[in-house]
Amino acid sequence: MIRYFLRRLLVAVPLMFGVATLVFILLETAPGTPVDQILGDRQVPPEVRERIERAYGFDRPAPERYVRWLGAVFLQGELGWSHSRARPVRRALAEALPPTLLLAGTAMGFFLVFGIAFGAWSAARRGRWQERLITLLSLAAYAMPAFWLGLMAIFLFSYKLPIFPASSMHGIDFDTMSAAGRLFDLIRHLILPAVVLGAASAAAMTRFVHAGMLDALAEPFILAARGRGVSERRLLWGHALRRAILPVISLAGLSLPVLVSGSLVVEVVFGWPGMGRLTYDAILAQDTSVVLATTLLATLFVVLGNLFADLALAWADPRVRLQDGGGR
Amino acid sequence: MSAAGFKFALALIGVLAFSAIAAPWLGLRDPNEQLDGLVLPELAPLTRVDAVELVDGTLRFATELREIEGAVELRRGPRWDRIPLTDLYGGTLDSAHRRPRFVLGTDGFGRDILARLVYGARVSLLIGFLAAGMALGLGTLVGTAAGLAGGWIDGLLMRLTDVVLSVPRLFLAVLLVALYGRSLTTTILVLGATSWMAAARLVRGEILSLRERDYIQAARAAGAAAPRLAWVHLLPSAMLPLTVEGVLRVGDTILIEASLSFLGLGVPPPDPTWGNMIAEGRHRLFDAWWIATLPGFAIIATVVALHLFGEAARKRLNPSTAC
Repeated sequence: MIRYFLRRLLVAVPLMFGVATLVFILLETAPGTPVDQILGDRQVPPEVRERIERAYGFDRPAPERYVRWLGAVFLQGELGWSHSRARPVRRALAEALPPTLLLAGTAMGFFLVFGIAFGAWSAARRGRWQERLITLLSLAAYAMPAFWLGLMAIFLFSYKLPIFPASSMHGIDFDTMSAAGRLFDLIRHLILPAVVLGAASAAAMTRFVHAGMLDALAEPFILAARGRGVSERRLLWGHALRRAILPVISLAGLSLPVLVSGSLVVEVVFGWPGMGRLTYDAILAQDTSVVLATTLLATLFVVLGNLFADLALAWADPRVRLQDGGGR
Repeated sequence: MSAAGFKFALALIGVLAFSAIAAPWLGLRDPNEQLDGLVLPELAPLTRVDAVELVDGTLRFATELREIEGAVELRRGPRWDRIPLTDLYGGTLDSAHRRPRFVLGTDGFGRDILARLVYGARVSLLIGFLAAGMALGLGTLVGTAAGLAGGWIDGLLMRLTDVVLSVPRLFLAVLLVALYGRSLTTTILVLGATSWMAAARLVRGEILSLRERDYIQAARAAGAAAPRLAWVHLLPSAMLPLTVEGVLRVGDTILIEASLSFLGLGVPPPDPTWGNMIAEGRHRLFDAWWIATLPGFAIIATVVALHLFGEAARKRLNPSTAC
């Protein structure tokens, strides 16, 4: 198991390295220089421009800057200065990270529970209208832009039926609330964005579990169990579901990019003060260093998520870790 | 998915493609024209408004109409405009009175939403198909090179694929647009450049599975060069799965384009895309829900249709993966 973990890690580290390199190349080939970014529309004499170039090291050759940049990012976690938030990018990220983790984690819990439940249930109702309904709904949910679904959710559940708040993470009187009140307030604010963020993944999960259940139900071991007199209910929720649920682990890992990308628009719609919102503000303010940092961080999430999913799958299914060179 | 679903999808794609191509000849209003900034903004779907036709054929819209001696008066917002009867088509209010209908209502600038949806289909589908085409081309190139060359070239290209694949697509697209500026062309290029990876893996897999077959060995022995080997002998068998991948990619691309437009990084206004229509309607959601809502349905219908079509085609190609 440890050997398997090290192997996977050996894939993940160069991957991050490669992403950083790719991003550096993109930055280098983009029109305009970083000095233009800093100066904006201000007209300055060439000496000033040169001084800035020297101060930031832009006058060095590209390979040297590349090495310095990599060192700064990976060894020191130094990501530059955010001019739109007037603080180091690192601090802006540290502030935005917890809300995003909370939102994405809740969304993941939501889509796992509902995806598996709906998928299994629609397989149990195979051939009936419930199955068709679930299939249709999951197809539609997959085809919906997350931000549109967010707007519709706000319109229906914050405006027409004012159950949930439309925006932000806390109520205005959050500071005066009791601990229980704060928790309740947070949950109320969390539900809509988390459901919206998780909807597409829930749809994918539903379809996936549905198909897996149908496959499992066609297996001989189900027939054998039925022959032994196991009830249909146990057959479905015990035998078939256990078989169908294993690949869910890797799908959960694969859905991370979807969640991370989705958080970009969902946080904007719901005014959630996380990384997506930070990125959006940075785009509007042309604060490239922030966009860069959030992109790297989002990628890190995806790489770590896949690593974690691989490990979880290997833990749950010995075939995986043995097959993948573990025997050597 | 059933045969009925497939036919439905095909019909829907046909209608969409037809209306997108034939948009200028469908008798729609100009999608970008702000006909009347006082009367028309934010009309609900199916609303009719009062209007009079002038001698030169143009329409004047009004919230309220009244006839006075020798003229009609049109109320537009706070003001009353007077038009002499002689300027009216036919010379009387009765002959000039029109009640044009806005089937899907109007947006905040008084632009016709139906026309914008149809013209938006043009832009969205154009972006979707061109970007998906570009992704297929790039992916085929990378996959063929990797599959045929093998060795370190294969390793390098596949690591590159892994790298691009591990950056969340929307973030990568956002970064690219932020760096390279915003236009229709960049949108297409950016979306194409961020979605070739699946095609590359598919083509490479196909080539690896075919490379050692006898007929390829024979072609190689007969002196066929690598490009000919790829083009004539290997790629044709990858064509069908590649097409399916392309169809599914179009739907994906339309979704990402919508997100980009929503973030203000897509096609610049005033040209309508479904994404920027939703973005424009966002702040008027509570007072004029239809502006942001309707384009969403257009996106859903399109992506569902493309998806059904792609899935059905995939099933037909390979019945064992049916689900």
